[in-house]
Amino acid sequence: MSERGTVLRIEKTSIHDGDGLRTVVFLKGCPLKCKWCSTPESQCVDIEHSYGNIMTADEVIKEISKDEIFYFHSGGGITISGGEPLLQTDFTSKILQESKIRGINTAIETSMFGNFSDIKKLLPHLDTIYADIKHINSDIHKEFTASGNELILDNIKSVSEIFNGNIIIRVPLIPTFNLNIENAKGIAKFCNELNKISMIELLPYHRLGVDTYRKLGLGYDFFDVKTPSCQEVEEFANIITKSGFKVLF
Amino acid sequence: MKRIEFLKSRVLDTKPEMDLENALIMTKSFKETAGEPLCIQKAKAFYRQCNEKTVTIWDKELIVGCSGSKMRGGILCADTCWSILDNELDTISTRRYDPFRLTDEDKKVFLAKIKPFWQGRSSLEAWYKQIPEDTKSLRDCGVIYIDRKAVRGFGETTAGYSQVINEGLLSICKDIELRRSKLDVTIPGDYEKDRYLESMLISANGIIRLAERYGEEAKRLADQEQDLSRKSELLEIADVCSHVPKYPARNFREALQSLYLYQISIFMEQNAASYNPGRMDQYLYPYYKKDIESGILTEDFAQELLNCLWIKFSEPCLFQDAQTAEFAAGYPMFQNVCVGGVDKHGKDAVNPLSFQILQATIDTQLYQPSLSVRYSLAKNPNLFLRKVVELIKLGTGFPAFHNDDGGIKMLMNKGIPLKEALDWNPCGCVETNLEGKLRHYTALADINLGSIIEFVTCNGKNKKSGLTIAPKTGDPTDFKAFDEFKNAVKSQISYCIKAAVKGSHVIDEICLDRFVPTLSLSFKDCIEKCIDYARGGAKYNTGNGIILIGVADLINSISAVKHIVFDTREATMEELINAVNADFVGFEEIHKLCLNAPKYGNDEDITNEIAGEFFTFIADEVESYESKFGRMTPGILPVSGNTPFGMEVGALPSGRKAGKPLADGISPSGGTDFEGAGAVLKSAASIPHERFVQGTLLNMKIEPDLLESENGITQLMSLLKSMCSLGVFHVQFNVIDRETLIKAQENPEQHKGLLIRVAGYTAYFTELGKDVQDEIIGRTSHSGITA
Repeated sequence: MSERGTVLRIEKTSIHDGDGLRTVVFLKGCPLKCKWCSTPESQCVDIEHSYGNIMTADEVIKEISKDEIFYFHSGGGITISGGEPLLQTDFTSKILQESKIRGINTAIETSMFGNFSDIKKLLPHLDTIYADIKHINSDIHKEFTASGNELILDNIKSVSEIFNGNIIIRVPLIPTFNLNIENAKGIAKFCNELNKISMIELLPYHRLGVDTYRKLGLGYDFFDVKTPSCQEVEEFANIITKSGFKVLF
Repeated sequence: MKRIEFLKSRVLDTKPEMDLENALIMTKSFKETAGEPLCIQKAKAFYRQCNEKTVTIWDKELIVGCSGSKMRGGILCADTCWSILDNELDTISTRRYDPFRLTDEDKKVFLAKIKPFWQGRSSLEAWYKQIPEDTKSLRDCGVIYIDRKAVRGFGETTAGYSQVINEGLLSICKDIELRRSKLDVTIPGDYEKDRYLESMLISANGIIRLAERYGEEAKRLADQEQDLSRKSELLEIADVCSHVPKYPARNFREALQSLYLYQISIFMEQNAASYNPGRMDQYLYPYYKKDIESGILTEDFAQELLNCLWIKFSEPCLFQDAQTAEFAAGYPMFQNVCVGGVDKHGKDAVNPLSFQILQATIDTQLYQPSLSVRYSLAKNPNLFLRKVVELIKLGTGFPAFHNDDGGIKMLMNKGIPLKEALDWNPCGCVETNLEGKLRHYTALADINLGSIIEFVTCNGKNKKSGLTIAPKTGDPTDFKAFDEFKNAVKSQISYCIKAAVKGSHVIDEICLDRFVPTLSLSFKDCIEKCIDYARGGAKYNTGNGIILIGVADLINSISAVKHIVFDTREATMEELINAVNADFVGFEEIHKLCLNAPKYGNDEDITNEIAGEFFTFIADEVESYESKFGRMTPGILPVSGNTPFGMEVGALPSGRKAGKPLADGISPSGGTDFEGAGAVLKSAASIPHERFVQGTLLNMKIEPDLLESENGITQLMSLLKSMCSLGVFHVQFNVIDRETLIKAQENPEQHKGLLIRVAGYTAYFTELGKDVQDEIIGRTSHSGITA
């Protein structure tokens, strides 16, 4: 029997979530409640407001396989994102495993807010992990995401000890929340101690999701927040670069 | 670059005008030569044009020459189509597409001197008299467009430029004389051959005379020139024009001038689109290399010369009637220049000149020449591909990017051996050609695939006219299975192809009398056989092209019928047809079903299977017919014919409303592809490209994120490589610039699939709020091209 999962959407020939041209599978459901979230329609694991589809892993694999030629020429592959893939570990694992059998490069994009045992199941089928560190201070983290960051940092640390692939840390740069020098320093320091991080990627806040809040009739604290300026992003990036990391933004 | 800017703005500031000088000279000559064989009459008229026409060298230009007396003139080839101007005398200056200014004086000259002589003698009149009845009724209802070859010359050819440049005309004349010496006019047929070879010699001497006159004019100007540097430029021009194309070119500059003088000559002989210089980076490279190595040429000066030539290519304007202009708007000369690909050994052919030719289009950004790339996935270097992407980024629509293996296979499918097919070149828009060896005619007839669907839903009736002009394929509400519907579509396709072929054969007959000795003299086999290009003298000949327009409309309509009526049974055939007949007014529910049915461009099995089945069927049908010149040939390349064709077609099951444009080429219908570039390429790959030997045309939009970063450029290169692996033949890109986004904001329906992507997030542009849209517009750059 094929595993089933809830997929928000499948995005093709994307150049942003990993190397080369990628198929990005966005799963539904997320354990965090980030106030700035650009994808509120992904938060609930169930289908609501006609967002999402129940799909079997075979169906997802069929869609992935359609683009093998693009992976071949670009060094691309698949990225499973969300939502949070760790909420659908078996489904995610099956897709990753089937992709590896087909010689397709694999990545996940995760908040790392999940059970380590679940993460461990995915590691054998993964080439790259994109893990978010949203804030290095747990109290502020909790204020903006409804959870502290201890589990996340512990998981990143544990994974870095046993995983042979790439780990890339992603930091969303959210004005009013984490776009400050102390946070940059803290994240750089944490990553330095792991000795395993290949790159840190900064994702400046964008407003592409604001209409979804309007459409869903949801409140949003960030309606008036502007995209960070180049200068703000560069200042943040400089601090991380100084700690010896390659930074992408 | 100052010179180039100056020359460029002069072209852009010059409005196209009718130029009757050549027609007047030709008329005079024909009167005097009455009684001589037609080919001789034609050649003598050409010689006289060369000898008498106005010769102008404009300030600052380095490459000289003009087919007529005006920089941007429309030349009237009276023998082909004088009557067009007659019909449009009062409207040509102001018509919507491609107007030409016509002075009152010229109007009088036309009516007094040109019209009276040519009345009853043109190809167009013969065609109107001889068009088969069924072909005519389809044409009159906008189901096929088939007048093109009767309203202008042939074009669609790659003359033997390299032979003219390398050997010179005197040497070609010697070949002609030698061949002539073997004739014996007491043998039946040899007198005809003798006269034909004589016509070639007269034409060759015409070109030589024309070049001499440019040389004399340059000398005259030099004598009066006060500015010393211009004076020396003029003396150089005088020297060059006194040497080429009479003798072999001695250097790169002479090669360019030789090429251009021959180019204006063949255009003067017959006003037509698509005289293609072809593989310039190959045949000019020996000159370039020698001059650079010996130090007489720098890369900078080579660039300036190329840029000057590029501006010359942008001067002439194709003259055609108002309707044909609607089908191919923009004074389209389609002088296709090509770089890249493989050489005759199958090895990488890219060289430094390939890069400089790409740079010429980057520097000038004009609408001519039509720049094409042959890209060999296996052999051409990444650095070359990157340069191509740099040009794509400018948003000029150039280059037309061709999959080299596809072009080679297409030529082989035209019956040309691999050995020679390796040297193919793109022609006109996306067609395939072979320098100095191949006679074909690309777009003899266009077939409206929207009308095909309409014939099925209306049981043979044309909705707009109310006339039944196609077979009765049955009342579609009686169809019990999807196969019956498909068979009806196929019957209608077969009928229209047959009618187009009948018309094509008539035009072939009429055009036997359109001798083109000036063009033919660079086709070696025309000399050897003593047969004109127009009569099949070239080494290879193929039947004319039958072109299909409305590919996505056909696929989407069949897919909608399958999905709605037979698979999900969301509506009955009767409901669907009632809705379509009412242009969906009052049938909004059904319209929604139609719009939501699977659409070509999203890489889905249902539409890909229909595409594969129907376009294989169409290729089979077209290829089942022979002509005097060989097997008929299919292609998919609407220049702009999808718009006028759309006006003739009512609503379609695809959800397209009545009168709206059909989809262009093999591109998805506007606003119906949602999965990005990869899915469009995958869908396009379901059409059997290599069987459409007259080419297939894919227009794609590039999302802005592919152009903004180093990674984006790399990935665009990967997409192009993937396209070649998939066997898609051609693609050209529209960059999504600020103007596109503003249009999308104003008219969201047509731009529904437009993706805006950032890391971890993608949105459809039209679904964003106006504030966010404005923000994106604000950071997207302008681009564009000047025509």
